[in-house]
Amino acid sequence: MDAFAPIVHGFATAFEPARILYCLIGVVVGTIVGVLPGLGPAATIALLLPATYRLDPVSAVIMLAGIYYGSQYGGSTTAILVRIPGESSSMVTCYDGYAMTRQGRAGAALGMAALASFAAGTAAVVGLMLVAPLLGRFALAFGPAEYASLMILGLTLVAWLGSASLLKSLAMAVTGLLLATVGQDPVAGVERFTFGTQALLDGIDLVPVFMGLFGVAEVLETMERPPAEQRLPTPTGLWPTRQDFTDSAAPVARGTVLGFLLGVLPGGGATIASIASYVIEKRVAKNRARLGQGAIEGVAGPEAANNAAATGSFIPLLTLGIPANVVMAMMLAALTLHGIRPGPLLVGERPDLFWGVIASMYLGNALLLILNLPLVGLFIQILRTPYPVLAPLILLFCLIGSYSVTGQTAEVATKARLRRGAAGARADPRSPARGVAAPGARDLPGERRRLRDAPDLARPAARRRRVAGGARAQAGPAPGPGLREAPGTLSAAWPGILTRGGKCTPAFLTTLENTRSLRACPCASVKLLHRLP
Amino acid sequence: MTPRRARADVAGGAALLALAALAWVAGRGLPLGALSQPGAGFFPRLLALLLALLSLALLVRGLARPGAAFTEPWTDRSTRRRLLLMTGALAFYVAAVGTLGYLVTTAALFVVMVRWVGGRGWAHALVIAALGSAGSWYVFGRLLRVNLPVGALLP
Repeated sequence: MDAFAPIVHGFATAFEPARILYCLIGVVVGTIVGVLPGLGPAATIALLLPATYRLDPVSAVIMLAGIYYGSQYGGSTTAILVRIPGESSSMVTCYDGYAMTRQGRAGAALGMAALASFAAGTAAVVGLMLVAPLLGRFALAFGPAEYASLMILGLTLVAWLGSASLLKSLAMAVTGLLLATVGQDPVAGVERFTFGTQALLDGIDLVPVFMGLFGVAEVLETMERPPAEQRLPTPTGLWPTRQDFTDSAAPVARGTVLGFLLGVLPGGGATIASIASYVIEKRVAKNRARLGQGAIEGVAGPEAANNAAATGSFIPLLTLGIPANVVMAMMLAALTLHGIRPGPLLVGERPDLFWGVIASMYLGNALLLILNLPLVGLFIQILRTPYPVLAPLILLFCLIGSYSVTGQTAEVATKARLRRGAAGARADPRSPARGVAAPGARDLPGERRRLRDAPDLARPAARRRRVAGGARAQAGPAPGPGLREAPGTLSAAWPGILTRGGKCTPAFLTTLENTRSLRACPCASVKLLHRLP
Repeated sequence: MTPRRARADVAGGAALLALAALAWVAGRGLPLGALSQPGAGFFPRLLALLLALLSLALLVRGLARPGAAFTEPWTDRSTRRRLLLMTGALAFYVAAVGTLGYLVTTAALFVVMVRWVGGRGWAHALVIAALGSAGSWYVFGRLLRVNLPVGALLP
């Protein structure tokens, strides 16, 4: 029974009253962040990081983790109700979720999203307990060739299943790839299709594209209808039917496994997981045309997948000390702030933290279910709002969403890069952004006029900081002293298996490239890696 | 295939072909590199080529089935007015938010949307505009500390 002692201890740690409170705060904030488009978990964790200084590390991580998986619960709400994805991982929920709303089945969709999230989240925590170390190593074996194959498989599947016309699907897939090449080239740092503007240097962010394609397009489409037909139908029934449960069981199970595995992969995560789940559901559906027309499977599968992925992405962080995505990079920052080195030794050195955080996820998922189910009734009241009032609100959400995302991503990225040691010059990472944003924007009046690039008001500030932060951005492919991390920060945070003889191992470098979490590898011996997202 | 869809294929194919041409032209200056070590311009140009081929196929498919005149999807005048107003309001928002600030621009967006696009009364429009702009500014700007656009004149 000794093997279980740390786990039991973990539960005891997580269920202390103060920790329950922090878990509750985390999941409530996460739900709100998830519901509000444009405010992502990474930005929120970055904002709250300074506030966790005073907490003990276990409570801090419990709270921050709650924000992440909580946001996966909330993200589906606006996707289902008004066709704006609250998080990018809820993008595919728009298809069937919103179609269900149009049929007056918003309650069933929201309820099923919460239940699927709960089932997947809980199952993924079990997975986290059982196979965490094993899967961590598997994730490291994934190299560039494997990722490229995965992407090609995904694009082919999407094109094949996407619409009635394969030609159109392929053309759109290539268009998407072409749009993705906008910005600085990740290898050599050459500017591509920026047309001389700073605004396009970081590429086209995914969220403003979704906002435009889903949110604004939906409002325009509704406006085409005569006013009497614009109103969304009042939902009938708050709860999924028995048939819905039968239809959803298998998609939830598939979504959970798929999401968990994809979540573990560095660079994978909730968004890819939800898309993959949707593709699979469309593939296995008996009547393929049904998906996209308001099928519950199209909500249950992806919502399960994104929750399982959110939990799964803790594995590389906790067992290897490698962040799988930007949110996990934030968590890593939080851990190092508290003087904890995540990695293979964590489970032995700090079993209270390792098992405490995992145990808190059971609690968090249960709290989220209790929170979210009653909210279904509240949320569907939004549909009673007359459309002339709802339409500008949707537009405003889209505008704020696309505006805030980029501004804050720059901030998050800066923060992840600079870390504690290097960031010593800036006590509060937020204040310079605010101070510099407005004058910076005034220097570049032409750039303000772009619809998609409203966020660039905040960008010049980020860029200035980047330049000010030690000429890292200008360092180019040749490793210079500017690339080196401040002593005692990252290099020290990663134990032996990631660095060998003072140099980073190839597997670790690949992971860093895939996650795009750092500008330079910790040993600074290898050429410049990816830009930050 | 209906005539209208055939025409849509022509329009879509032409637009994508134009995009591919733009990408090709704009990407001319980028280093191509070698197949074993592709440069920054390799991938974009490969994609531009692919897109050109696909859009040509789409264009040809559309032209092979010539249809009747392109039917206006929104013939109704009031619908057209609503859509133009909304698009105009959005464009105005993006152009003006830097100068007029978040509060004023958002209120203006609400007034246009509720009063003219939605066809509600003035009292209705003004109340919703005031509540909507101030409320969202408080929630996003203050509580959630989103960096909302700060205007040159007003917040």
